[in-house]
Amino acid sequence: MTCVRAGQGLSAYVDGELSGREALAVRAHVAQCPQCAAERDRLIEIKQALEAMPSLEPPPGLEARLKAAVRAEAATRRQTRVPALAGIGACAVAGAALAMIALANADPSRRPLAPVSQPPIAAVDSVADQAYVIGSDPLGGATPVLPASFGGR
Amino acid sequence: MLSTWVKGLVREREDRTALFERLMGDTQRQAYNMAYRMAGNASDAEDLLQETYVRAFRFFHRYDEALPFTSWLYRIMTNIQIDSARRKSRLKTVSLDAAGHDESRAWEFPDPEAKADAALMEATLAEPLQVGLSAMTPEFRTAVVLADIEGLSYEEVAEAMDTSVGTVRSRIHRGRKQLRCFLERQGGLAQ
Ligand SMILES: [Zn+2]
Repeated sequence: MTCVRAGQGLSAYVDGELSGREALAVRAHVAQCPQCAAERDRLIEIKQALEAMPSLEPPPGLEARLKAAVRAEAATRRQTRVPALAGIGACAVAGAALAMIALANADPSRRPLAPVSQPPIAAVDSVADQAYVIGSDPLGGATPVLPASFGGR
Repeated sequence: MLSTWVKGLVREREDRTALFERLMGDTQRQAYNMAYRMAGNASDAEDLLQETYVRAFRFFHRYDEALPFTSWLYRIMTNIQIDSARRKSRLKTVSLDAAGHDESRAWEFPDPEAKADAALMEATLAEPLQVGLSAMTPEFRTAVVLADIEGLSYEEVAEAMDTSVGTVRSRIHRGRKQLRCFLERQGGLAQ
């Protein structure tokens, strides 16, 4: 094994993340190569220093501020639902929309089928408000997350 | 009928909010530590943590309750942090170009000095490591923090960073070397 190959595997070796065969090869190299042995020791030193970093005390009132932020988010989502629900009563095809809502409500994992009589899309989305455009990654910040009503279906 | 349904929905939502708040209470301490190590100072850490929990709440229906909540949370935090680090370094490139300096090449690398300066203002001398962490390439820092501070396995880090174990291995190795170079320039690990 060359120093370059051994060097690339040193961190994983130190972490016990190499396969048995790789680990044995690195260990054999390190045993007869002072440079790689020194490099291993430096990596261990860094690792141990990181592990020894103290756990930080959260600032006072942090949990209350986080709760407030989450409740504000919950309130925002409720507000966006209300107009959609109010619209149902006024709508001539409310019956059709309600039938779909009942269907969707009975089994939340089931998406309502596209209605024949085209009830207001907002009513559907108020039920499926947790549906988002397929392909967007809600966990990633890069791709904008759009509500399904934006037209992604 | 409609009102019963609406009440049911509201109750269900309140239950979910209560569950989320319990999970948040249980994890906020550990998550704050992680956010601080990634962000480098208390104020950025709190912003990062708040954005993480708000986004987690927004997508709470996607959370698989069979998995640890922290793993899911770290995945979200990692994404936010790496995105924001990239945005910041892009902004710097743009402002330099706008100022008429042709230094874009120099800025292909993250600017350890600038970031370290900001972190230095808050970090105490007892924490040269935190300054070093702040100076690292964001992807390397995240991998190293998850593995060495949070104690995740390479496989768990790969899951959190949505990448392969091979990439994690390389990021951790290069990250530790980056950190060591930084500390050696600063005069070693002060104890
Ligand atoms: Zn060697």
